[in-house]
Amino acid sequence: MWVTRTHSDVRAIAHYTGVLVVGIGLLMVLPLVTAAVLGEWAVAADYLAGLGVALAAGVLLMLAAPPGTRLSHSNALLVTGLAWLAATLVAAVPLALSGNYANFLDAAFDAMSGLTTSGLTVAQDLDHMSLAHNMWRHLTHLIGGQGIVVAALSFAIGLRGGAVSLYQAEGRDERIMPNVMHGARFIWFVTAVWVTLGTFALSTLNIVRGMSLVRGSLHAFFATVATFDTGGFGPMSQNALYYHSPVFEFITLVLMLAGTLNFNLHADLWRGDLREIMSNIEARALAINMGLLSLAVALGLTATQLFGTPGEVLRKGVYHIVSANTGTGHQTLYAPQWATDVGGLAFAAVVLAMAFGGMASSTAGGIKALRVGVIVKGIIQRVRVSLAPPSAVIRTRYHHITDQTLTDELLSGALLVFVLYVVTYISGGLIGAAYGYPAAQAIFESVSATANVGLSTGITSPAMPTGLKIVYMIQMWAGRLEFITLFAVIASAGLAFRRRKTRSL
Amino acid sequence: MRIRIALITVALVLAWPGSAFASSADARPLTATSILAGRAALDGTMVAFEGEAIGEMLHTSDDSVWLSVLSDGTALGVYLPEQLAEQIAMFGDYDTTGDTVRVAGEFRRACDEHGGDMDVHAVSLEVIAPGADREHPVEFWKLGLAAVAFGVAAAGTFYSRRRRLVVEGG
Repeated sequence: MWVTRTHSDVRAIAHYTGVLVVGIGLLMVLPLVTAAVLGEWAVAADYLAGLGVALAAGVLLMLAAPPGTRLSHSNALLVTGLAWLAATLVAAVPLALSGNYANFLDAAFDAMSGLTTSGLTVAQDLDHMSLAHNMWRHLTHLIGGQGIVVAALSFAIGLRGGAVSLYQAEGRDERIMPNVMHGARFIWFVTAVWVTLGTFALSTLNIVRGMSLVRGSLHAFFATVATFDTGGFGPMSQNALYYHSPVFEFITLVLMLAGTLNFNLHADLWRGDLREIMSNIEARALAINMGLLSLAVALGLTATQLFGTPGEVLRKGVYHIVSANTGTGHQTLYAPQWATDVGGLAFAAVVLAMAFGGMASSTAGGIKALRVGVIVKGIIQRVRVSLAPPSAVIRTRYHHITDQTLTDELLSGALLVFVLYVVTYISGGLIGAAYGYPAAQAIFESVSATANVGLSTGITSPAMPTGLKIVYMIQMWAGRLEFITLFAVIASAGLAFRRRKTRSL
Repeated sequence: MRIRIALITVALVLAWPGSAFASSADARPLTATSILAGRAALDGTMVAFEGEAIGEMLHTSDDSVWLSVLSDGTALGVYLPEQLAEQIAMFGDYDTTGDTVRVAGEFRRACDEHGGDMDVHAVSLEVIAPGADREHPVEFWKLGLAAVAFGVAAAGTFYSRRRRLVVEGG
């Protein structure tokens, strides 16, 4: 049975979407202050306008229902889905005013890409973009990576009803702490520690190499946030290649791995308990996945003879496998090189790494190592059943936070999401090919968008067809919310439209 | 050592008046975009290209620096001795258009020395046009938009509070 929304449901949804929009708007104070401190007054005007538009839109939406209105589980799902769209539209306002985007759609593309921690960009003249605008672009990674709802919960801006439902609808189906609010705050605590450490290390490196204190520190913060939140934006058009530094690549490699770690495992690490990470199915699946794909990329690159030295295999092979697998998308290759220079095997390995993705309950995207691990366990169980006598009872156990038994329900849930990702990867690839791009590159770009990675073969550019920009935006949105939340939004919109049509007849 | 000898030889060839390379480079310098597009054919050859020096010089552990040169929408990394780069006065960023430089050197599609980075090992650099400050005047219509939006937000907040007071009071 399909449940249609009542007027009070719609009002509650609008109210909470408004709360989150106000929250996004208030965060624009940070780039506004950055612009004022750096004397970028024209940019400060962009953020003043952006802040005003966000507050106006948010307050008007909040008027739909009184504060404290209860939010049911299904309505929470819709709020989360819509919040990402609303946040994208609001976050795009100052970017659209920056002059670095051809139109509002391009600014919205980057806002969606930033919030979903994808990292694909259609910005123009990035090398001359202001530091304050770069601050906002990278903050979208921070906001989106930790989760818009988690951000709102952490700062307690008024989400009293249905907090647990909102939290789960954002793709965080695991509880790190018994209390959702404590869980949200723990996520921000872990993030603060890593961002501080990363910014300090990269600032030191940048300043030693000759960057000014301000630029060196801001670049370090941008790189840290883009890496720990597995985003992939960079303040320069060359992305990570701009720095030409193995030390930079090593530090970002560590940050990428930290960023893809399940927040539950961060909690164990914080407690000094290494046993969980050693026995966890997700950590094992990710380690095996990265190991095998690194081997494949090494073989592939060596075969090209272009990237044959150990240093090249490490810096161009392993770095990009980790970047792809963790969903970060930092690259030290030029986009056109993917199609022609790295060879077929390395290209395929990077596509697979992007498709599989990192860990659940982290900032990473893709199918996720936990699901891959569960599916592999399921296949092994089926083989064992087929070889065992008919009377035998075969049980498969695995460890993820606690000891668990593999059930048909768990397996079908993992397979459902796996299939949805694969169908979306292929569909986006077919659409890209229909626009005239080579099939392999179209698949690469589609996987990168859906798995929120950000590596690009060059298809993503300001000159890309408008239709394809919208397709990639939907893929980024769907991938970040792991489909079901977005489907709920679409189904509810469809039901509302059908009901209105029925009434008018 | 062999690389250094090769680079010195190349520098001498480039510096020789009327050399074939110098004349062809003078005639039609490449852009970073065209180098990227023709990377397979140009790999290991001497190239000359022009563009804007952007960002900053990034020092390495030896006496060399990395410079990024933006031309035709593509930025290309240039590895060169620090003395050569010192003549650059302005680097492009939000506030500045960097000096326009003409770089000549060996193009490497995947540099073995630098972990496979695509780069140009420069043997000469010349500033052919000075950079300039970029003006960014405040656009006052944006302040007007902000004022209207803050007004709407304030009115909405006032209405919400008033409605709550009415409900609580009544």
